[in-house]
Parts: sequence; C-alpha cells; structure tokens
Amino acid sequence: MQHEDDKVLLERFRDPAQKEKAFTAIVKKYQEKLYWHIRRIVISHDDTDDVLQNVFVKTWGALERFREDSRLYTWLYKIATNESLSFLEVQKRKYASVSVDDEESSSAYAATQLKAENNFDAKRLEWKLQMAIQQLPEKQKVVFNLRYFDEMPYEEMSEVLQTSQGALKASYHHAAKKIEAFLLDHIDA
Amino acid sequence: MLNLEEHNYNLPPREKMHMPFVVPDSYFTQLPGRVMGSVKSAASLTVPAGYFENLAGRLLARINDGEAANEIAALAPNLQRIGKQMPYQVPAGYFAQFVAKPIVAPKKTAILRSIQRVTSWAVAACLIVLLGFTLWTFVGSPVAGNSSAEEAAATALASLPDDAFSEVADGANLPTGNSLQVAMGWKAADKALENFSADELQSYLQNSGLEELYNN
Repeated sequence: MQHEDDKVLLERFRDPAQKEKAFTAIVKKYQEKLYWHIRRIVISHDDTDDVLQNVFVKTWGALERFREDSRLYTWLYKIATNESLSFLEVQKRKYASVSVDDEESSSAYAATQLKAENNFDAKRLEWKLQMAIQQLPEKQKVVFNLRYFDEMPYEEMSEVLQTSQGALKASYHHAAKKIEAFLLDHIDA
Repeated sequence: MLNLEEHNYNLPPREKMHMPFVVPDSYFTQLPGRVMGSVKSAASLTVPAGYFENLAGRLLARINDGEAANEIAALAPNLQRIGKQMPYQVPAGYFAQFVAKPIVAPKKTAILRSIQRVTSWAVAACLIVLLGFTLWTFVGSPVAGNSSAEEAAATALASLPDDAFSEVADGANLPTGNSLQVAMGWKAADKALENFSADELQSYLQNSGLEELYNN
C-alpha cells in the first residue's frame, strides 16, 4: 500500500478541514509497525490493543504541538515505547505483590504471558527466541527488538530511546550474545 | 598576436567567404518557436512533493538496508538463522478494523464544557457539605446534645481515685456494667452515664482519651 509522505500528512493534519482524514491516514500508515513493536514488549494481544489505542489517542492530542524536531516515525515509536514500558511497569508491580524479587517477577510475568498465548509451543524455535528475549532487562529488550526485528538504524533508535548510539550498539551486542547463549542452552530442551 | 596583414594573406572580402557548414532550411525561422516549446516543457515537469527533502533519507535507507542483517550475522550467527518470524497471532481483520474504532475523544461542545465545569464545582460543594455533616454527626452532635450529661460524667470520673483506673487498665476488670460497680466511685459515673447510648459512650471515650487507656 502506498502511504503519503509524513510532511504532507502533517500539513493536512494542521488544516482543520482535513485533520481527521489525515489522522486516519497516519494511523493506517503506522498501526502495524507500532502494533508489533508494542506486542513484542507486552506480549498479549489485548494489552497491545489497549496500549496502541492509548498511543494514538496521545498522538492526536500532542500532534498539534509536534514541531518536527524529530521525524514523525521516531516520535511515534518514542510514545509507543514509553506507553508500553509504563504499562509493563504497572503489570509487574501487580505481579510483584506475590513475588519477592523484582527481576524474578519480571521474567516470571513475561513467561506467564508467553505461555498464555493460544499457540504457544516451547519446542518451536521462534517461541524459544521470544523466551530468550524476555530474559533481558526491559531497555535491552527494546533495543534488541528495534534492531533485530525492525532493523532500525542506530541514529533513529537514538532519537527514540534518547540514548547515545555507542551505548545502543553496546546494549544490542550484549543482548544478542545473551540470547544466543540462551538458545544454545535450550536448543535441545 | 597574429596579424594577418603582416603575413600578407589575401583574404576574400568577408561577404564572399564561403562557410562549409550546412544549416537546415528554415532553421533560424523555427528556432524561437522550438526554444519556447522546450521552456514550456521544462516548466511542466514536476517533482513529487518532498522528493528532495526525503532523498537523503531514502539513500540512507538503501545504505542501511542489510546493515542490520550483516551485523547480526557477524555478532551471533546462530541467531540470524532463526529469522524474524513472529509466533504471535493477531485476530482476523484486526488492522482493518482498528482504524474504524472511535479512538479519538469525542469533541466537546461549549455547552457541554460549561456543564462539566459547573458539575465539577457542584460535586466539590456536595463533598464539603457531606464531610461537614459527617463531622457534625460523629464528633459535634453528642457534645452539643448531651453536654450537661457529659459534664456530669466527666465530673464523676474525675472524682475517681487513680487506682480505680489502673485496676481497669490492668485488664482484670474491663469496663462492663458489673466492673463499674466494683468501686463506690464508679457508681456515680455509672449513674451519670446511664442516659448515654452505647455509641455516645464510645464517642465520649474516644474524645476524652479514656478509650486509649482501656486499650493499653
């Protein structure tokens, strides 16, 4: 599907007569990318749907103040990342009330979410990869997902996560090594 | 500088010089028209909106394309072999329906906004009245309604010796009807307090700090 250029969409959004149509076009253009970005963090479809809607509702409110210092694409990713991590923090806190260790509760929560998926199959490699990703700290998880699945350049990732490119590269390298080690350990399990 | 006259060249008069180049017939008569045609044609060429603004970005995207794949191949070759297939399922038609959902907050009319503003003030006022009534009922009312009885009870309790209180506080004699009558001093207090309901008595004990003494 051919999507309109972001600059054109933003100009149309600022025109009151075209605002809603332009916004719908923005949603259409980015919904799938943002959906998968969020889903890789929060895992459940229903939670992803809630977070995605929040992202677009916030976008509607904030888009008029968007000054194009950054690209619309990275700006939306930034909102989606923040919303997803905030959501996850709340869920983890609820889960942590019955668990003592925070990191342990985080992995346990993620494992529970993965196993709750209808087609979860711990023997399949793609599920093993998801399980390995869930072992990572939250920020590293986001860095890995953005680079591995979205192939986002470090320059753009730096805008999204407000972190230096060097730190992001280091984080990605650590994450990739940890995941590879996890997979090698669990490959015959 | 070459001076032809010094070299004694015999050039034919300029008007008789023969040019070896051939110019197509009516070339010069048609030239202005063809030039104007080219100018108009150039003016009608269009460049897509944002072409030059996005050119650098598109070039970078082409350069970056494959960079991530090469990076992971070098970094974790086993991981690269797994690929990027997402195992998660998405309900059928989810993305098509997502845009249709009313995700934008409904527009508020000026009237609706005024009503909401008035409503929020009304709710705040009601809460203040409710809080005041609650305080009056549970704290203020017994004092106002039974002030003389309470004063009599206070006087009677004040007349009790200290050991009468400590005896109760030790827990051996909780302030039941019988224990109050153990000492003579309790009789006066009991008489003064008999007009109190259980709730009023509880309220009095809380306000006077005696309840804390019993609880300790």
